Amino acid sequence: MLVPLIPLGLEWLFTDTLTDESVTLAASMYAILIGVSSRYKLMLGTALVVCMLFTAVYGAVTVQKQEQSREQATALDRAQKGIRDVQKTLDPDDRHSSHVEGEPHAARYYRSLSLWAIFMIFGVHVTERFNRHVLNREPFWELL
Amino acid sequence: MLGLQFLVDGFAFAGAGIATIAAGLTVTRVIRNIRARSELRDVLLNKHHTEIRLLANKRHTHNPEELKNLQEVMERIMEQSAKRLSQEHRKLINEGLEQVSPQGRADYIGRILQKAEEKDAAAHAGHA
Repeated sequence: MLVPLIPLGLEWLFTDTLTDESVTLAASMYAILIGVSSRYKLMLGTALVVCMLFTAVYGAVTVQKQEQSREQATALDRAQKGIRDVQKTLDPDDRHSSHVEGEPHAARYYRSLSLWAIFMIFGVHVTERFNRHVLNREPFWELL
Repeated sequence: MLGLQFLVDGFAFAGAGIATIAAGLTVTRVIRNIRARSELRDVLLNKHHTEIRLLANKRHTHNPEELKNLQEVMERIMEQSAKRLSQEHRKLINEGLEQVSPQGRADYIGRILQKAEEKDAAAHAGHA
């Protein structure tokens, strides 16, 4: 159940933080993995949709991060050249100006939503396994 | 750009929402399974005498010998249920669960009995 989340755990262990890209990608991969291992067609379809949605979110987060770093690089470049002060190079009316400092405004809830989705999919998996192995008395490994 | 942002936000919320609905559906399904099983257990363990009699009546059987045979078959099935279920038995139970209703029960038990009888007949044929 937790094996697919090992990369996420390792990232958290080594870097003490989780990037938005990792969490959204993990949500997407975890959804499809659990969907494929499920025996219900409905769950497979649902997982497929969740996977596609979070893949799109992953793409958006990646693009946002790239834009953010590009903006930061440009701002730093301009500052180094002494054209203007870094703050003055950014138009205060520009709605993207907040991207320069900190994380993109949307990313903070992307991470929460991805973690929520992972938690819910984990719940689906636990419930389904309980149904199979406890209620239906299926042996955990048929081969054994 | 703002439109795209809203779209992606929508994706994220939809993804989390669908995952939540899926979790809810799975939990509902399992609760339904638990209830159905309890009902089936009730039929198998407590009311099986009545069910056998009903089944026997349905088959127009009043022969005590045949009734006794039905009883034995039913008890064997119950013994099997108590142990680890075989693949075939599990399939039967799951099929039966789909139609746990007063009307479906008799058919279900009838099917199990028929299977068991067929198995017995095959075993006898094998011995012969």
